[in-house]
Amino acid sequence: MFGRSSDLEEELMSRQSQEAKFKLPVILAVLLHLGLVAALLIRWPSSTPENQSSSIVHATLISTETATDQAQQLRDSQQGAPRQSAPQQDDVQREAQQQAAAQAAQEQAQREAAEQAQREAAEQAAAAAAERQQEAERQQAAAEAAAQAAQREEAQRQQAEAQRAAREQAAREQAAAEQAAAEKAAAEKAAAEKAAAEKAAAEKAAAEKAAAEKAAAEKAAAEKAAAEKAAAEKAARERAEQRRLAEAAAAASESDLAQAIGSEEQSIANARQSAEASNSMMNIIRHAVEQSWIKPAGSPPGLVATVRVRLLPATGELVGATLQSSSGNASFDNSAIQAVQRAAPFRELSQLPSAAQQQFRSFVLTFNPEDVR
Amino acid sequence: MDVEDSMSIVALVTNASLVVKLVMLVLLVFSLVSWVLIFQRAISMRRAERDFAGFEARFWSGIDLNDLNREQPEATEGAAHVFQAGFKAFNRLRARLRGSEDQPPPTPKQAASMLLEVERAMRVALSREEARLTHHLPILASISSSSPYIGLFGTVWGIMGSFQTLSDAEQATLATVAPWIAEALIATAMGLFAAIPAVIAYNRFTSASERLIAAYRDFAEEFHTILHRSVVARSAASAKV
Repeated sequence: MFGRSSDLEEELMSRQSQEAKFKLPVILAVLLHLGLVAALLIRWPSSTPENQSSSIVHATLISTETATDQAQQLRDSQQGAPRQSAPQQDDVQREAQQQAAAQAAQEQAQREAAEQAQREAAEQAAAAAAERQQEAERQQAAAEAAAQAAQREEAQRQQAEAQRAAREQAAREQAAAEQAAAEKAAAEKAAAEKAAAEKAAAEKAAAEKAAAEKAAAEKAAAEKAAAEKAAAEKAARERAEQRRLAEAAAAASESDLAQAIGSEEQSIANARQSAEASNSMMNIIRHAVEQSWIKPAGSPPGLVATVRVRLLPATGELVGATLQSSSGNASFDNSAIQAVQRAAPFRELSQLPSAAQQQFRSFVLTFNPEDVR
Repeated sequence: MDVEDSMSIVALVTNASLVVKLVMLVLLVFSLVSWVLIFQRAISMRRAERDFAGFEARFWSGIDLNDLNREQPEATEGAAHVFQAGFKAFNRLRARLRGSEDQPPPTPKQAASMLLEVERAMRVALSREEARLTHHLPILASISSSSPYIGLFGTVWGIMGSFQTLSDAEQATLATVAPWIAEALIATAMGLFAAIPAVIAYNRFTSASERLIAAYRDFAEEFHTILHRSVVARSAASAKV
């Protein structure tokens, strides 16, 4: 009996002591959880910048590349149109050369593999962007070219490379050269072009690696015409002061090629930069507009509307958003325009290089619900 | 900004549906309970180990067993409890044997039955110690094994809800699904959060208590041997007389 009662006492005592012992663990556990929740809450605001940067990546994932390209192409062609209508001689000549360039690009694309053709198409668009930039810097570039004349001997190596490419396209190049010759003396042009080629070589040596150069030179055939156009412009300006360097007409066509390759390499370098920048900018704009687009409920499927957007290049503010082609459904059209207006100030535009900014002065957005993945 | 707001953890928790919220609540309670037990077990386990080390050092220091028994104030746990249970039974039996006749040498049969009684008393104390050491561990085990499933249930429920709302939306972009799925996945995260410490703690405490019980058992055997030796020596001495 005694032993049993003492056991009971022990049991009671141990239970009491255990309950007392639970106080500290409860406090510790609650503190631990509170600390964890607090850590989650405190870390949250500092993690927002990461979210922002990841949302840009997000945009490139979601973005509908085809629609972006279409918009860019549309814009390119529309920017090209007024320039062609300008009554300057240079422009008329350039138009003819652009046609020749298109021909050359097509034939080149047929010859090369399918993947290369794709890349070329992208670079063509890049070259078109570079054209505009080059036009803006034309004066400066001409002055540089004059200053750097006869400094570099690499032009000869350039010529050797050029000759290799020249054999493939001699006929087309001849046509282009004849157009130029119709206005100017062949000798004058040759002299001017040689100077330009030397400038291009210098820039190439500074900017690009040897391997990239070779690949670019081979790929370049498609863009060659575009670069030739720039060279022709330079030739027109430097005609007067460089008469003394006249050469034979046959040599002229060769050096013409060399110059074309050189300046085209430069244009590739510039075009890549601005093309990348404008592509990511396009994605940002596209994503922002997608986010703020509230599609009207109950609209029938298959509606497509295109909206022309005009921005201030420096700040990214919206100048105007007008309907370019209606979907036939007024509320759908309005929702598209409102989406652009809501998304409007695209502040990221101010971070772009000025050459790329110009591309966003006016562009076309296509609203196609089926396109959104 | 809207996207970021809707993807914060607080917003994910508050925007969840009722079932998912209940699941989260259950998991939070589980986590709290498991941590309470973890702390409680860790404290008592460490104290038990310390007490055992101290008691063993005292026991083997050559102290007289009666003194040792006297200086232990009604020990209720640990090796001291085992020792006291055995020693108390031993003393009681010896007193009864002695009380019946004045100087009766305990016959070998009596001595054997006495030692058996002592052993039984110590075994009872040992099993009580074992129960005390592994007291709350089954709760930890069931938390560790069930909370991932509970969390998974919340996630499945949340994703079902997200698909139901998705069927109403005409335009199914990743952006419309993402908050729902993230919200649903929070439940799984919480389930794992509750389960992982519980699993680790359960394994650790189980092995620690097993080690401690083995040490108690060894001590009981040794103590039993000592008692046995003393009984045999006394009966031999009384037989001589």
